[in-house]
Formats: sequence, C-alpha cells, structure tokens
Amino acid sequence: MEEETRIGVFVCDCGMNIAGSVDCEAVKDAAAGIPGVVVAMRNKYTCSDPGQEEIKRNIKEHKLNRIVVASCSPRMHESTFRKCISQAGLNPYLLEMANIREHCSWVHLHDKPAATAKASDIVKIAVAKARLLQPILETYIPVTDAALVIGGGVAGIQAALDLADAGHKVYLVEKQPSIGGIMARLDKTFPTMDCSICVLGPKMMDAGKHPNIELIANSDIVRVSGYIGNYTVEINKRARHVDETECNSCGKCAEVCPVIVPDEFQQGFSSRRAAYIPFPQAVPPAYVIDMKNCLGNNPIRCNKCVEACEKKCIDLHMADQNIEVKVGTIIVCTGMDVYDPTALDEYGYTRYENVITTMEFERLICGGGPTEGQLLRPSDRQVPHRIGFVQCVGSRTANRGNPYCSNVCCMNTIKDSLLIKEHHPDSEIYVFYMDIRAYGKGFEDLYRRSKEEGVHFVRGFPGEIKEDPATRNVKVRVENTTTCLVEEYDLDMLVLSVGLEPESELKKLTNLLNVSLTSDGFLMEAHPKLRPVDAPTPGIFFAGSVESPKDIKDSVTQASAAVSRSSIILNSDVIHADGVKAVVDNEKCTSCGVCARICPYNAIEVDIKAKSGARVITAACAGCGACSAECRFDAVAIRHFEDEQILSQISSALADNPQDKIVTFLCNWCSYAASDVAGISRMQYPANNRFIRVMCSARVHEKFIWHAFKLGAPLVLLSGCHIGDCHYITANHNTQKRADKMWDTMERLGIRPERLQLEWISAAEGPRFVHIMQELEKLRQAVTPEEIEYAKKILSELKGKNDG
Amino acid sequence: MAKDAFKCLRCGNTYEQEPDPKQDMKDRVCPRCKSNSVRRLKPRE
Repeated sequence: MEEETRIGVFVCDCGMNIAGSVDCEAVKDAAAGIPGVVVAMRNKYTCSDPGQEEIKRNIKEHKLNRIVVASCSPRMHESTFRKCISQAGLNPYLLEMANIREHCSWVHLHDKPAATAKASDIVKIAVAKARLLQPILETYIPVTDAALVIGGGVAGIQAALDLADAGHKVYLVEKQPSIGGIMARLDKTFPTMDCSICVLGPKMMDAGKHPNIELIANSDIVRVSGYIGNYTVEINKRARHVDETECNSCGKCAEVCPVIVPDEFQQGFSSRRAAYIPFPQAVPPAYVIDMKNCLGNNPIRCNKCVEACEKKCIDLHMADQNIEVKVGTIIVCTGMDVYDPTALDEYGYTRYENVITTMEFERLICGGGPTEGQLLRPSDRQVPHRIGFVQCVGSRTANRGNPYCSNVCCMNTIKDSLLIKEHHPDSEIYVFYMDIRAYGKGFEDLYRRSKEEGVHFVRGFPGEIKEDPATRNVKVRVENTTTCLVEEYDLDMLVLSVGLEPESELKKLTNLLNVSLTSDGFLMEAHPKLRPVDAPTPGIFFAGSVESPKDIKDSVTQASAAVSRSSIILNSDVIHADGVKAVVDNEKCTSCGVCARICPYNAIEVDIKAKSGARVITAACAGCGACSAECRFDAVAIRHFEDEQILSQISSALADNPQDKIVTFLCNWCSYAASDVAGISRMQYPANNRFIRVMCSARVHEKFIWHAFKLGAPLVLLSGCHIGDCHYITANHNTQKRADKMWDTMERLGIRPERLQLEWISAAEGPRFVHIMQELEKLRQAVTPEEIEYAKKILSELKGKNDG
Repeated sequence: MAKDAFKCLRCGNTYEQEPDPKQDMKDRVCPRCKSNSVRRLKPRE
C-alpha cells in the first residue's frame, strides 16, 4: 500500500531577517492550505536547537514523512536540517528547503506584499517537490589515507608537517626546485622582527626529512581525476638533471659552470650559474641545472659540470618523470605573486635605478642578500639616507592593478622602516600612504614604535616622480592631504610597496581541480564564514594566500585548519557519498550511448553492440544530470532532481498569474551562489522570478522549458557557470548546445527565441545577477498576452515534444 | 575568412565574429549589453 504523504512546513522568521520584510504568519497560513501539508509552523530561528527540536517533535507527533524548511539558502543549512530530520528517523533526502531569505526577504526589503506573495510561492514550489521526494540510500566510499599538498610555501610546509605528524602519508608538490616560497626570500617578519629563514629553514628541513612526506619538487600537477576520498593525481616532475638523492651540494658543478645569469632569488641583484642551488637553505638540498641557459651536454661546447661532479649525479639527458599518486584529500597552498609595477610608468620603476620594489628591498637588506645585509642603493652602491616608501602600489585601485587591499603591505613597510633605522639610525624615512592598516596582534605597537623612531608618515600619494640625472636621486612631489600642501622630497631611494595578486597559474590549477575563483582571482571558499578553508568541491581544501592575501601567521593558522578539515576525511575508513546520482532504467534504455559520450566523468558504461543497457559507475558519478537531459528515451533519472519533481515545481510556480512570472533555472554552484551573494549584499531586484535549483544547468531538460511555456510563462532563464568554470568540467557545454537547438525550434514554431534567455553567472557575480534580473523584467513586460496564448496553444497541440 | 553571425536575444544587437580556429567552446558575450543570450545565425561569406 502506498504511504500517505504527510508534509510538515516550518517557516523561519530568522529574527527580523525574514520577518522584517515578509509576513511569515501569512506564509505559514498559505502553506497550511496546500494539499498534503499536515502541519505548518513558524519559528523564530529554525536552525537553533529549539527550532530543530520542534521539527523532530512534529515528525513524531504528526507522523510527518516529508519536511519543508522555509528559511535561508540550502547552501547554508541544508546539511543542518538533513541531519536534524535523520535524527528523527527520516531519510535525509526527504527534506526540501525553500529559500525565503536570500531569494526573497533580503532582496525585496521595501515591498512587503510582493515579498510575502513570493515567499508563499517559494514554499508552494518546495512543497510540490517535497511531495515527490524519495528516500535515497547513501553509498559509502573507501578513503585513501594520503593527502596531496600543492605548494611548498610556509602554508604548504605547515600543512604537510601537520598531516604527516598526524600519521597520514603526504605528497608535497612544489613547482620550484626548492620549497620555501616567498617567505624564504624575506629578511625579517612582522611584528616580531625575527629572521624569516631562521624560522622557516628548520621547518623546511623537517618537511624534507619527514618519513611520511614525499617531497616532489620542480613539478607540476598535470591531471586530477576522482572524487573525495579517492583522487588520482598525475604529476610531471621536470628533469632536474641532478640526482637529488645523491647530490651533496658540494657546489663543484657551479664552480666550473661558465654560464652566468641573473639570480632570481636575489631579485636579479646578483648572478648565479646555470648549475646552481636556489639558495643555501634549499630543500631538497641539491643543485639543479637550468637547461634554458645551459650550454648543453656537447663535450666540445661544455660538459664541465658533468666532469666536475665526483659523485656523478649530473645527467644532462635526464627526462621529465610522470608520477601518479592516489590521495583522499588535496590541500592547495600555491600562494600568490607579487605585483609587478612595470605597467605603472608614473612611478619610474623601469626608468630610475633607485626606484625598487619591496621584494627587492628585502634582498638588499638581508644578510643573505647580494650586499650581505648592507643597505646600498642600486645606482652607485652608496648607503641611502633619505628613503621613501609608496604604499598601495597595484592595490586598492580600479584602474591598473587590483581593487582589493593586499593586507600585508602596510605592516611590511613599517617593518622595513624599522630595519633601516636599525642599520642607520640617522636615516630619514618617509612613508606616502592612503591609510595605514595595522589591525593585527602587535601591529599597532610596531606602528607606534616606527613613529617614535622618527619615521615620517605622509598622507598622500606622489603626483610626480623624477630622477635628478646628476645625483640619481628621486624627486617626489606629493600633495600632503593632512596639511593640504604640495610638498617636494629629495630621496636617495624610493621603495614601491607592491601588493599581492593571484598566482599566475592558479586559473589552470582551478580547471584541473574543478574549483572556483572569486572576482579578485583568488580561490572561493565553500562558505566564507562557516567553511573558510573548504573548496566547494568535497575533499579539496586550501590555505594561505591562494585564498586571499595574508601574512605568515594567518597562512600557518589556515594551513592547520585545512589539515584539521582534511583529517576528518582521512581518519575515516569510509565516507558517505552524496545521494544525487544518475540511475538508468534498463527497460527504457536502448544502449544508444549518448549518456556515456557526454558524461564528463566517464561514469557511464554502455556496450552499444551488446545492447545490454547503460551502467552508471555510482562512485564516479558527480550527479550533474547532463546524461538525463540528453537521453531521448527518459531512461536516465537523477535522484533528488527527477523529471517529475522539477516539472511539478514548474507547474506550482506557474499555477497563479503565470504571465507575471519568470521561470529561472539556477545551477547550484555558480548562478545559485550568485543569487545568494545578491541576497547577502541586500541588492534589490524585481520580485517576479521563481527560482528552480538544479545541480548543473546541463540538467535542464528541454521538456522543462516547453512545460513552462505551455503553462503560460512569458520568459524562461537558463543560467549556470561560465564556460570553462563548470563545476562538472564541461557539462554546461551541453546547456549551450541545448539552448541553440531550442532557439531554432522556437523560431520554427513561431515562438520568439528571445523568450528563452541564457546567462552564465559566476558565484562572485552578485551584481551581475541583479542586473540580469532587472533586464529580464523589462523583457517580460514586452511579451504580449497573445504571444503567451499562441505558445500555449501550439505546444498543447504538439505531442511528444512538450509532454512534460 | 567567413565570419560567424550572432544575434543577442536580450538587446537585439547583431554582430559578426571570426570563428575560433581552435573550435574551443567559450562564453558568447554580446559586445553591446554583455548578455550571454547570444544566438548563432547562419554563417555568412
């Protein structure tokens, strides 16, 4: 006997976050009148303990078997409420969330009637889906107890050591020939003013020698496949041309090497050979041959290093090595790049020798630097006495450079000013700034100390920088906004306090890892507050400046946090796999092979000749739904996002006044996230949209769109991740192809193609989402009642194509 | 080289663009209104 559907609806006030602009009592009353709803309740905070207890109590008391929580975004609390209902004995997939906060109360703050009507519709749509929800038994996936740490800067080293100390196998992959990152190039660190390499060096050695860490330096990630608990990673280990296990760093190869090139570690202030060690504390402690500059292994031309190496560990024929590792989790710590001020010609960086960057300054003042710690200016190797610093170079600018604050430059300059004072107490130091950001522990003290030592802080940016050809001094004209005077400074040296920016190859890595970037170009978190070190892709975490510019302490803190999150997975023998998976109905399947061909994960197998039906490899299926939408025989279903559930949502959305509604399909990872950002930012837009969440835009079957038009929708928006950013690799290519096909069909049927809109909206594009909503409302108003009626009529007459 | 013709289904702008020799799929973006609701029309000589 079929079980009676008994739905409970719980409407959350979220304090005044929802109740402030939505009449929650009216929403609750409307929900109570929907067929199948047994109980409708209102809570102050449904996510709180009392709120969750209320749900559990009602499940038992009213024998509820489907739950709708009308509150915030499912991206925020779906897992909370799934856990809650499973504690009350229900399958977690019998929950549907109605997002009446980010999608309603926060974006229609000043129109309570419209917000209330929309909230009631959102609940009705959720109930329509909830009625058709089916329990899903989660699968369990075994976990590989090993982790990959990408990037060997301070964050990566910390993450590798913490994981290794906790007993996990770690593969530490570094692009450069040595680990150490940017921290290895710094002289001192703020606010403690301790020696950077003295702090980092021992950690580098520990990482290099730890029995649980396999250090793979001079290497790049080539391919990543798999899923949480079971990633397979292909690494290209570039030929070092020196056997790093045999090299004892004697340096004889470098002594005989005739090639001299600028030393990048010393910022080009000194030189190195083609056979070189990146820096004395390098790990692995081995030389490397720079084949770009090496004269080659032709004995007539050179071969001196090979002859000089007593241990015979140089092999100029060494080939790149392909390494494959299997890991359960991945921690990304690829750090950042330092901004190159070459484009900012007004600072004279490329024209005046005594205009340098902060990174160059670090090497000039460092004991291990080219001047052995004597601060000398580049043009004449004389000690500079009047030194200026220009803050925010390449930061906080909408034009050339980056719009964000780089977070560390103010304190770095303050540290540098104190270092100069240590070396030369009588030097004059001027810092040209917009505002000083000394927000961290001990930062304000350091700032105060700097002022007490006589460093001058001048509020204003240089308007003109020129070199005196006779003295090579730098003349700086500044409007001091404190005194409102234009001041002129004659400086021996000017240091550009350059900002930080995303690592140049980060975009390539994100494509391999299937993770997203924010509008600033750094990695996007799964949730900015609650999951700050998790990528949206399960099993991938990050730490350090790959997420945003940060100092050493924050990078180390984040690394240990990422390790903690990663260890939760690695300590488990098995993990629960998400229940959203493809399933094939073999009675309908014709073994045509379309599903297998388009699956971005190769998760479907079909023997076309044997006609034995498609088979889904459940562990590999990511649940995008592209296969289901492309199957002409309706043989592939996506659990929890089944055709009937989505069609029912559309029907519910268009039950009343369909001519006023825009049916919008949002993909879970990008456009839905952008709609959440719009909500969180309280950006306002018209209340006519009715949102339907799918995991990927590729899940949107043609019949969903025809169904909406047949029911009188004036406009349908199909939205997803930008091409190249799809969470499911290339699944959204199918979305574009489907839209193209539908536009052609609409034209043939006499339906204006303009009524189907397609937009790619990244998770960071909240403002763009709002702009699109506003534009769509204008398009909706231009759709005539006759057009709507015509589409309804012609689609009703056609059978098969629009039978949703 | 024959150009591809496109029509923006949001603002109505029509424009031509050289086809990508690599045939890589990319975002189609209307140069006028930045919408992605861009329909490829018949190729023109």
